[in-house]
Amino acid sequence: MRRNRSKEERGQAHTLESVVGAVLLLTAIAFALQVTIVTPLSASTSSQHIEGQQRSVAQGVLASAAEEGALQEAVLYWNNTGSSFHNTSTRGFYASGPPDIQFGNMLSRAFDEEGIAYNVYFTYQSSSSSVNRRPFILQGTPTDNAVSTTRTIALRNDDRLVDKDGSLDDTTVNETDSFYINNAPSGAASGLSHGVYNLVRIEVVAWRI
Amino acid sequence: MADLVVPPSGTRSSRSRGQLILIAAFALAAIFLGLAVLVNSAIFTENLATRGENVESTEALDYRYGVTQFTAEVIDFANEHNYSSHATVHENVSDGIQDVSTYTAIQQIEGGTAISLVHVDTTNGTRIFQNDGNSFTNNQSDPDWTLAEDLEHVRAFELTDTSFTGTLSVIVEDGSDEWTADINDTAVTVTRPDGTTTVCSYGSIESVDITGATVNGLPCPALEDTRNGEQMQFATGISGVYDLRFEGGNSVTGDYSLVAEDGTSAGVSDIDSSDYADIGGPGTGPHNTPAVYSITLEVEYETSRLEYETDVIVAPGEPE
Repeated sequence: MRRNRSKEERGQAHTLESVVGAVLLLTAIAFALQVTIVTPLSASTSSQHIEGQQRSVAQGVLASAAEEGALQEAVLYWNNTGSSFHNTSTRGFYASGPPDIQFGNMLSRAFDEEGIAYNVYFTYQSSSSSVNRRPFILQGTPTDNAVSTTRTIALRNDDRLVDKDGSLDDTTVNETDSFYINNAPSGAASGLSHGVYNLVRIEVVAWRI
Repeated sequence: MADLVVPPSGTRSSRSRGQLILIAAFALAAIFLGLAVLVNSAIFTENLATRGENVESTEALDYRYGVTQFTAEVIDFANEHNYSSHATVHENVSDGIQDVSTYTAIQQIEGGTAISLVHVDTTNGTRIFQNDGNSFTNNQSDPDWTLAEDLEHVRAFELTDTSFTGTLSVIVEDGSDEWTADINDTAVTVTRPDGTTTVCSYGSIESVDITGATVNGLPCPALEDTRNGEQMQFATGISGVYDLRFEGGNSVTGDYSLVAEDGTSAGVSDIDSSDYADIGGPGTGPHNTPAVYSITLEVEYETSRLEYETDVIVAPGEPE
């Protein structure tokens, strides 16, 4: 009787011990899985995937805007009397949201609803060897995961400024001194004007917030 | 220690069971760990496989596309402003290309990209246009007349500010076959050489981009559709050089312009000068000027990881 009881007790102890051991091990595994799991927001290879998507979206927006002439419109959306982009007051660029022109609406549709912030810069030739970079839309300082994509367009001497309501102004870029982009110096040997006023590189920097 | 094997006597030792369970738990734990590693590596592989390894090549292709757009501006400007001779237009275009090449090189080098844009070839053409809003007749006021003969290609063929009182037929023919676009106030009807027709209808037609296949800025399926495996777009089914005619030019007023490439010789020899007026007058008929039809550029795009070189032909508004 005593021997039997001792056998039973020891068996139960073993069982208990093993169950506890198993639970411990599984907890350890669960913990290990939790600390290594890859999420879209964790700094891992997955975030590059998101960056790739954002870059593609930005490229798509720039490509279709270029095709529609919306980039030209944005570059020429200049208040000739106030010497700034329309409705930007003294700041000189758009901060709270894009302007109500086609390019602005395209950016807004592509990024605003997805929780993606973006900056837009215009780079153009200021003298024969240097360039100027002017912010058009600034929404903050990009994070480490920001992506950047660019598109280049040409301005012609006879391109006209765009009024606040989106219609064409009578003033051409060549006729006004207050336009932020100067006529790029030409290295051409012949005295002919080839009509290229300047070349503007539009850069979109986008990042997740 | 307990026995791991059941004693042969049949008297099973209950002490051995706890250890068995422990070992089973170990085995289970090991299997789960293995599975976790497997799943993670699968996720990682999928991630690697779908990651955009072509990011830089996309940039290069985008740049090439940008080049065709801004050099097209140079060509258009030269054709519209410095048309006294082919030599002048050429000089104007190559000056423009040289400058935009310098500008892009300076702008792109900031991003670590080296760019080279070399103008290697030019194809001569003739720009035919009317910009006074008159009817589409020639300088003798004939409604049916030939704009040019023996053409190889036509690009940027646009009618603008149009107002129709009847039907204008734009006819492309090579002597045996004929491609026709009949345009009136409400419809564009395209007839292919084999007799197939397609129509697209509108409220009131104000502009037609014949080579770009749009009407009033909207796509016109009749000008670009595919029927029975054959396209309907401008000059489809015409092989070799062709003539371009207007019929019923008195039933429409407005402006038009096109740039044609001569199929036989350089210059404007395939055009009957009596149909046209000089730009300064006398006469108010249509005009023709020497122009650049297309240019060939050698584009190079180089970063630390990518080298891309290609020839690009720029002919803005040319049908595909």
